[in-house]
Amino acid sequence: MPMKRRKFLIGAGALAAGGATALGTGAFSRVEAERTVSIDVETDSNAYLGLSKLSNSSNSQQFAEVSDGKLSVNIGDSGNGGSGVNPDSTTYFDDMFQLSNNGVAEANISYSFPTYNSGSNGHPDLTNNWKTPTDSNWAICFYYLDSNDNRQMITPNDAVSLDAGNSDKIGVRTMTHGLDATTNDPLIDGSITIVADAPDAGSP
Amino acid sequence: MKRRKFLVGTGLSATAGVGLIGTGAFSQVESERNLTIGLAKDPKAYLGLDVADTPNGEYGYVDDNGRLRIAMSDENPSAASSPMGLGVNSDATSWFQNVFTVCNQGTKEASVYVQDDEDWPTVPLGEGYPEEGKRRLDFHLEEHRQQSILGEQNAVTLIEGSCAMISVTIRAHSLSEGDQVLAEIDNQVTINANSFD
Repeated sequence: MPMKRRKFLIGAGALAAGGATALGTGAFSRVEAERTVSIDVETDSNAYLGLSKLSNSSNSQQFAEVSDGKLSVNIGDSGNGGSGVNPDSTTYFDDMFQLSNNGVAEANISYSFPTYNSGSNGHPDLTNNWKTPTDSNWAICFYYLDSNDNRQMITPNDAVSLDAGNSDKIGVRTMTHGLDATTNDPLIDGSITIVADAPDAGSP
Repeated sequence: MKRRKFLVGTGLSATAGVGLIGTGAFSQVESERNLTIGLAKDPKAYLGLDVADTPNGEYGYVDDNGRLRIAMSDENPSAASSPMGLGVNSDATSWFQNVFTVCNQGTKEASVYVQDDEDWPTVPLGEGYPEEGKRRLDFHLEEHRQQSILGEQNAVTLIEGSCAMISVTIRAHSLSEGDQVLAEIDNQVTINANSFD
């Protein structure tokens, strides 16, 4: 295969050049131009959508993991006897990870939960859109701290806007009202999809 | 460079031979003819290739040899001097709208397409990945994400003097840090333009 490609390249030079003199008019019959496209797969911290552990956050150090370059959050064993969040409670984990826009234009970043599968990827007492049964709050919600250190929730219906080159520290809030904590079911065990959309760079 | 010269030379000899055959036998004819060849950088060539004047144009550049390169990697000159990342996320689909332009700077209508390759990488089938079986890299016309220009059957027609902006989709599902999305095709992509009377 490499030989074949090389041949194309030579052909391109000759044909394109032929048009210059022989015709003088700029007409061509066929141009074949082989070009280099290099696309590297990067760690989440260095990729265009940046997701990194926060070195100065105990929550991030304890619960965020990077494996194979991919960030995950595992709120489980605390190492001090705790193995999960309390039932009938709201729990906040500030500064769980850093979200960065490593692209070239302002991006609106949002997320979505997987399709709820009762007892498989989500607690069986949740509603099928990942809300608590009694008060219909999002069981899991991400947030950032505003300049007054108020926690600003980012629900799956929202997006946060980040300029190119900017970052936000993202926290995780859990709400567990009305959930039976004796069944050993996790609140969630699945994949969150994060979408960064940069309208100035074109909207799909 | 040497081989390119040879190819041009072959064409000339054959033409010269036609006129001479009727005059009788000869063992060898060597005729020198003047030949002037203009060679332009990609943006100014008959098949004009250039970075787009858009934010995503920053993912491409014209190299020291005048060739357009697309670099979503640490090879990108902007990556060193700006917060730009060094590659696409693993297990993700990335869409870059309007990265480069293709212009027909000849004098006739041309059909332009990206040449397909039997080794073109795809997302593996049957392993539960999103977009399984789809191409890891695809090229599209402007905002038309569903309209590929990969393969001759998907060629777009450009009238002389016109340009199209080309967008790029990358599907890195099942790949990890350090992988190159286009390893199977040696990071090489061929753009073809056919011009018919």
